[in-house]
Amino acid sequence: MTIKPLFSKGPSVGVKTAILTLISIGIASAYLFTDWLAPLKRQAQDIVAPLYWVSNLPSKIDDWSDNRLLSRERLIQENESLRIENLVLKRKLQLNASLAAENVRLRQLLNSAETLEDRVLITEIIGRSPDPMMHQIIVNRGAEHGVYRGQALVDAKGLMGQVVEVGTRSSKVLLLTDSRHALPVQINRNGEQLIAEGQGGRSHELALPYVANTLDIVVGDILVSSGLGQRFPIGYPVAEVIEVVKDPSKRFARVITKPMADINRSRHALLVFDHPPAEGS
Amino acid sequence: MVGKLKNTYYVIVIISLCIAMFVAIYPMSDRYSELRPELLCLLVIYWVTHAPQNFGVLFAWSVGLAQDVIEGVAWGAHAMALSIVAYICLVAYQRIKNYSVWHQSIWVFIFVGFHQVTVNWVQGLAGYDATPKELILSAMVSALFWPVLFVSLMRIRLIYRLG
Repeated sequence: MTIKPLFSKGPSVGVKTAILTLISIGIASAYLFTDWLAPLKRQAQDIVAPLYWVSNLPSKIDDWSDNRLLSRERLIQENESLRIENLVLKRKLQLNASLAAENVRLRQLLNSAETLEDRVLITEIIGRSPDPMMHQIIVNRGAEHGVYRGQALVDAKGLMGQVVEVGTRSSKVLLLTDSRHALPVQINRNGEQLIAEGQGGRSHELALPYVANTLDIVVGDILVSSGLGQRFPIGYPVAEVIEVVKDPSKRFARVITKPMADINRSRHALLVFDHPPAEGS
Repeated sequence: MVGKLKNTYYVIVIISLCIAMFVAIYPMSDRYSELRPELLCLLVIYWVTHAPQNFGVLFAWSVGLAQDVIEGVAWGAHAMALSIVAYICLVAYQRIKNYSVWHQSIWVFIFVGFHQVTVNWVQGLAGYDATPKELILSAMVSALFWPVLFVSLMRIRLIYRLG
């Protein structure tokens, strides 16, 4: 065993701390303001995803036991109600099929591009950002399954967010409600174009900035994605207007909307393939 | 024998850090997530004050960087905060170790508060800043958690007869 020298050589603790602090600031600026770290971020995504998967295990076990320990009676009941729901949805689909066909015919008459049925991929949400300020989630599909940056994530009720980081078998999704997220939307009732901004923080709402006081918008209006940003597919429900304050003394009206998707509660979601990934984007 | 003891020591440190990482990312409801103790920061304070010959600022910095990568926040945020906290601990460990546990809690409150403010500063650059209330609450929860951590780690060190 070597004896430790009583007076250790090398830089003093203060100098070391100063150097490490400067390195940290350097890394943080490179992370925030450049894309030099992009390849590393992708690898980090692969390393981190299994950890989130493990930390998600307790709730998975809870799910599993819920499934296994259900009584036969409840299972039959649930099956019954699902069957009825399926029937109702199928009827709606029949109607939709004819409407879609009609829509395509009309579009052909107008000489515009026909909308195709989007292909989707079912995905499970395996982790959420531990920082309540950051509205990001991790899903268990990645480059291996054809996921690309900017891809839209939807759940049964509406749009949830877009993919910002693609790993091999997992990806990170930025939710609509994040303070760094905004998307172009339109009011379903009258086609008015607006922008919906995430509020971030603890609120799970979307704000509509720059809404003129004279704009026709009322509580209960549904906002759908307008596809103008060329990021999100057209026509997915985004949010419902829950509050409109029109104050003539203010330049713009204050409008608060609530996302249609169960952003906080969904366990499963769909990745929509609406256009093939553009190279280099 | 000494080498073996040292190995056990490092194994315990690594296990404690792994558990703290899981606590850091364990899914919690938004309403309670500010009540999550900053376990990694507490552990860095603990190991640096109790074994300053083995763990220094570089150790704290690496732990912080790992936390940044795992939590997905701006890289360098926790690294910077933890290395500065470790520096203060290194300068003042003789004093801190002489205090009673509750007295140490007050120090920990200041350390974690400083840590939170630094992390929040970097996160603020990214567009995610928390309110002061949340920072104070988080530091307070961590300070209240300190005696629990202190006593249980002391117990573990007694069981394995670590110095």
